[in-house]
Amino acid sequence: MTRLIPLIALVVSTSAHAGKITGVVDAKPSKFLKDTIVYVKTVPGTKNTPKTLQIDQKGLEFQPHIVLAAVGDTVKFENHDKVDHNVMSHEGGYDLGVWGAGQAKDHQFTSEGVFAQVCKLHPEMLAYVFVGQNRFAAVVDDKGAFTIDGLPAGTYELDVWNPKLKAPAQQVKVDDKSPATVKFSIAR
Amino acid sequence: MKFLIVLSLLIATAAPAGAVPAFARKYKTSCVTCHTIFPKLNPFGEQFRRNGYRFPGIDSDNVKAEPVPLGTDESKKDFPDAVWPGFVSPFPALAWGFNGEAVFHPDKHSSAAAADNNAVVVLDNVIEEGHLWAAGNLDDSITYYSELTAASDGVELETAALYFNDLVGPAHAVNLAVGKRVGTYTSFAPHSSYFADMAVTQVPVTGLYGATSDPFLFNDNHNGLEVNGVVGGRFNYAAGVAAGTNLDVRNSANVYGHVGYKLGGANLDGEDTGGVPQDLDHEQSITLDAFAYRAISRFTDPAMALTKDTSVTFGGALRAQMAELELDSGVFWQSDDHVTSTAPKTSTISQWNELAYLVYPWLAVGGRVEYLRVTPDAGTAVSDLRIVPGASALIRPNLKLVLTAPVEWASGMPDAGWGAAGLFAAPADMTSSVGIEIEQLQLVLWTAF
Repeated sequence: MTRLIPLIALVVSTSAHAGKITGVVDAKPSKFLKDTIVYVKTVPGTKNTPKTLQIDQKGLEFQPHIVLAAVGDTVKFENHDKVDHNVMSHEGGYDLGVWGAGQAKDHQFTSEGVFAQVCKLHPEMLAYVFVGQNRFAAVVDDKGAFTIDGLPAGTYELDVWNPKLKAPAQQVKVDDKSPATVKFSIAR
Repeated sequence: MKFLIVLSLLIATAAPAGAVPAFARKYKTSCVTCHTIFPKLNPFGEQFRRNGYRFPGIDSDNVKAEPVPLGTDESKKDFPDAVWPGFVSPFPALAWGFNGEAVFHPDKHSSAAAADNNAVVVLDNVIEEGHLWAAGNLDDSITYYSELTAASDGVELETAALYFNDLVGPAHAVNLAVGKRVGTYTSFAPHSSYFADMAVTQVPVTGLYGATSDPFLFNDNHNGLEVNGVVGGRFNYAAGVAAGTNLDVRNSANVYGHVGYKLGGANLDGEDTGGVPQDLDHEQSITLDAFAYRAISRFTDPAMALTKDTSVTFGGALRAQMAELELDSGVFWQSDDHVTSTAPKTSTISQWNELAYLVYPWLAVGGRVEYLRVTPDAGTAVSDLRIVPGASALIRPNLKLVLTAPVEWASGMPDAGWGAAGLFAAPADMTSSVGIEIEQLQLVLWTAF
């Protein structure tokens, strides 16, 4: 019981100060919208607890296509196909080699960035691992909408990433009363 | 003679390449994005064609039928340890179409009626040809275009070419076309006409003198290489070398060049418009073109003698567009040193004019006037004048009817008559005249899907 009380207190404290950012991304051409990530660049005092995330190689595709991670996280690449697969990343400077059906390989991401994952054996396969300083990031839905929740009140730099399109970062003031609303227009 | 007239009819109704629903599927857009009445291209369609069958900007930004990737852009970072990526269409980049014509001879005694055994109504060719097109991209810079035509006399690969675009410098400045195609002699598509197959008249001069193997036409599909481009949005050029037409294997010695400049209206490549609407349907512009061609062809003359003909052609063209009204005019002069093995040097002048008015986006009315004059050295000039009033109508974006009524005069004729040039007038002998003749009413049907 003595261990439970501080935990309840922490949850109440966090939710009492949680802020939200909602918004929409408009892409031109619109067909490139789906791979768009909106993220808070830096949240002071962030201490990430490392997680292990998963990307399947299934049906000659990476599933999911985008994984949101934070510095220190590990991604487990599982092969659920009956053919060999590989994972390499130019940005990450690694090549995990080739492995067969039912096997998996791990890679820990120790720096921020967006890391394209490709399979040398099936060059049409592509996935992105987004690694942020924090976990306040979202992939937009098919209408470009996004929500980032649970932010402490404060002013942040909100940025957007897309493989082909771009837009300037924006300053966003977050409080615990009403959601901050942001619109990005990304283009070539 | 009858063979030549039949040949002329085939030439006159040959397939207008260019109407390619494979593009409509790829971009999920209507034919009228690029065409007025196909195969006639509107200013945007001409930009698309000049850009190597690509939209201005980055072509794949406009593709709606998402291609199957043959690698991703990430593979480029691994080159040369990986194959440079590309893509293929999610479905075969094909289109099919057919065309034909119904002919009515109001005067049973006209030259054209005589060639049809004095028939009044001829429906033999209501469906005459089938066409299979394939067109698309290998990536954002390499494109392809091909056309296979099937008719009663066989199947022919009319066009098959690869376009390596944006090789160096600004976009569209330097491109390479490789394959079998009509070279670039004006700023516009070879089939840019409402009432004829080819915008620039086709005159197989050696055919007029009875060549018994394929006569050479500079504006026909030839294998070859061409460097072309658009500079500054207003100037375009082309320089090429082609295999030409030879009875046997020979050096590919044909060379040609073209320059063109457009004043007013949309620019030639659709780039750098600064966001200013191009008002493509109502532009006012004048485009000037000049071209030259030197060719060596080898063929068999009427005496079956292997003959080498060296021809030199100089030409110019003008297009003046004022909203829905358009005038295309041009002339070329050609010198042939041997139209037969024993003939003297021959000079040919061909002049054409086409005036068309788009009454509605689906209906063009107007006509063509074509004049052809052939003069052997120290001989008598012979000439033919043809006036072709006509109307061209889109029944659907991919279905059209063209009604024409060619009227002809001829003063004399070359040794083998005018038929090889697609003309009907058939004087009784080399020095007689014919005309005025209403040759026929011709209703052409075209569809592609």
